[in-house]
Amino acid sequence: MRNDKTIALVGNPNCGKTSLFNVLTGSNQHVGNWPGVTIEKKHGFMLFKGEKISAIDLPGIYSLDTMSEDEVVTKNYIVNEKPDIVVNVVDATNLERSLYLTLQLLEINVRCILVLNMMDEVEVKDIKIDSSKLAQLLELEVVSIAARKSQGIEELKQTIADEINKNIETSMTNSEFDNNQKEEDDVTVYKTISDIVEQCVKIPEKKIVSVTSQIDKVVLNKYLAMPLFFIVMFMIFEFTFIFSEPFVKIIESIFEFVGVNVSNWLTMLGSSSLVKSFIIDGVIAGIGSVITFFPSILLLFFFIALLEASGYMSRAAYITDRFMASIGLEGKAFISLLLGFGCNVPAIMSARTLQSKKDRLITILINPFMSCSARLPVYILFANAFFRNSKGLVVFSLYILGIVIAVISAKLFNRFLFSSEKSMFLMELPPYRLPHMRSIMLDMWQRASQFLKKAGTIIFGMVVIIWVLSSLPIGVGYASSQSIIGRVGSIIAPIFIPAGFGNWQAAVALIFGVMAKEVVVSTLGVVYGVGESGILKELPKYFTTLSAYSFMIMTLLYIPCASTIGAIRKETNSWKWSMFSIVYSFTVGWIMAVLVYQIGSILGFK
Amino acid sequence: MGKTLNVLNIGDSAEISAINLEARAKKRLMAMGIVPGTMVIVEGFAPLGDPMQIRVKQYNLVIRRSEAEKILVK
Repeated sequence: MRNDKTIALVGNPNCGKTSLFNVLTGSNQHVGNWPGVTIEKKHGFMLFKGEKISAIDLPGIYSLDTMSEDEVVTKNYIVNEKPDIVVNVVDATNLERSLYLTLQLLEINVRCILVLNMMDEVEVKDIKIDSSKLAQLLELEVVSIAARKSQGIEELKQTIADEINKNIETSMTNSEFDNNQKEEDDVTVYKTISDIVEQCVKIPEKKIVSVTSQIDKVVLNKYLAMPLFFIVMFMIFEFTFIFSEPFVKIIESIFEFVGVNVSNWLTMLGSSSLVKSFIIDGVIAGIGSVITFFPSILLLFFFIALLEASGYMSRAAYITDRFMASIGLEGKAFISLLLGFGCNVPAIMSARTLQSKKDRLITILINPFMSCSARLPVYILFANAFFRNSKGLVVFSLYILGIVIAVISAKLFNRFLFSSEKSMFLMELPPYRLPHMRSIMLDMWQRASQFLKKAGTIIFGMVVIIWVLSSLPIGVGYASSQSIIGRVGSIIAPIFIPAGFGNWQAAVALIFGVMAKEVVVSTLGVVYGVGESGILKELPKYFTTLSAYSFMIMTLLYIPCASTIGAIRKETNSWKWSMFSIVYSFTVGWIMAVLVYQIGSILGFK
Repeated sequence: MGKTLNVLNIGDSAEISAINLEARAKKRLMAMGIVPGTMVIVEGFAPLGDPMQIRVKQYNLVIRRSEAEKILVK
């Protein structure tokens, strides 16, 4: 048993629960995952008059018994961990639906406080709520607040403190929900709710045209919706990957600077070249490759949080759902895939906004086929060397190929891996709301720093492994043909003969490309012994135009980079799916490269 | 067979009379307030014609036509 008192926040999505949690706990938060699932678990402390009360933010749900992951997590927590008080947060502008969950909570006999949030909006809408009557009918404490404006928070804290110290022994009825519960029961529940609402709430007769419906007239307009959506996506894309570029450059030069200085310093100390190489090429380069992602991840999460909090994210899903349904996914998956063109890492992390587990997994698994910006330098190098007159077209064809493979893969996965699960798209379209900046910044920071911690260790580990393989046995030149990686390259090179690029250097470049795709370019420079500037002239000695194209296809499709693997591992919480992704993408990449080379050869291309 | 939710036009209002979906899907709909006896108003359709947006119990809900097809209204 715990000694400290605990409250748990329960409520519908979009009811302002997380805003309230942030206001209650300030920055005393810890974000983790619920065991075995990728649902976020937020834990924090609320301080009130010298008393420290532990607080848990449970996932947003509409009911306790439809068996979704969110609901199972919530129910298990309430039943097994027995929080002292459940703080049921409801959107006061929409009591009729919100109270359904409240009644379910009361049914399992948990001690509840009902928090009427969004009272500021209630006032604007001229809705009158008799909260004492509500308290009397439901037999629980009712507190009115406006979390985003921090109104009513002191009263709420006082009520929580009073209730928690009452020390009433309650026996929670741990009755399993009856899934065959009759439809009539729900009808009765809603009848009860209607009666309660009728007695306590007065909604003005005159219908006010809401700001939301005015905005939606434009945003969801039949002709304007799509163009507007693409403008929004384009802007996020631009801001994320272009605004972060100067920061990325700065970070890169800092790491370069540090590398050079540490290298000089190590030479001065007279350390062996092996130690030096480990620190420079392994540790510093490894940390650097993780940190350089950070600015774009921060920015991207900022925009995602902004879209979610403002209400646009749901609209974007609404607009694109029809298209995504055709490949067995839901609307929100589109956004995640689109972001993949910038960087697959944050794109994969954005998939956590999807409701169904199946959709989330498929979206994650097909994401690496979206050609991220790191692959562009490789395309550009080869296009410059071999396709001088059709550069744009060749690069464009690769992007299209990636999309086609993603679409086909989604259909395959749906058909063969998850055929039993049928997705249902049911989503609330919340009113537009002015985002609460502090919550957004907090959200952004939590998600991004989580990435740094978890994915960072995996990425770093892989970088070190590659370093070790490049430097051993002792005495060989870094990544030379005598190093382990060079030998591995020579061993696996033959499997690329059918694809037209069976030289060991190409194989080594692909192995290094797993660290980060753009590394393919610099690796080719190293293994050909000409440096980055000399590759352009060197390439035609090893590739024909056709094998250059098949190599580009391989670079597009094969094994995701270390950071992406890290993100997949983190988001799916499974090594199995990470391995699947590696094997699947390598196989697909190889097949496509071979097909293109062989068919191309038959057609007489060189 | 009566009318189903998916054939209504924008601005039409109707009362839900029955839901012909399997238990779990039905349960999800009910948790969102879609139960027999509830009034709904069709607010609009997505630009590509699907899904549709309906107003129920003071909020807006997005539902695919394939599911709306299984919801009888009067």
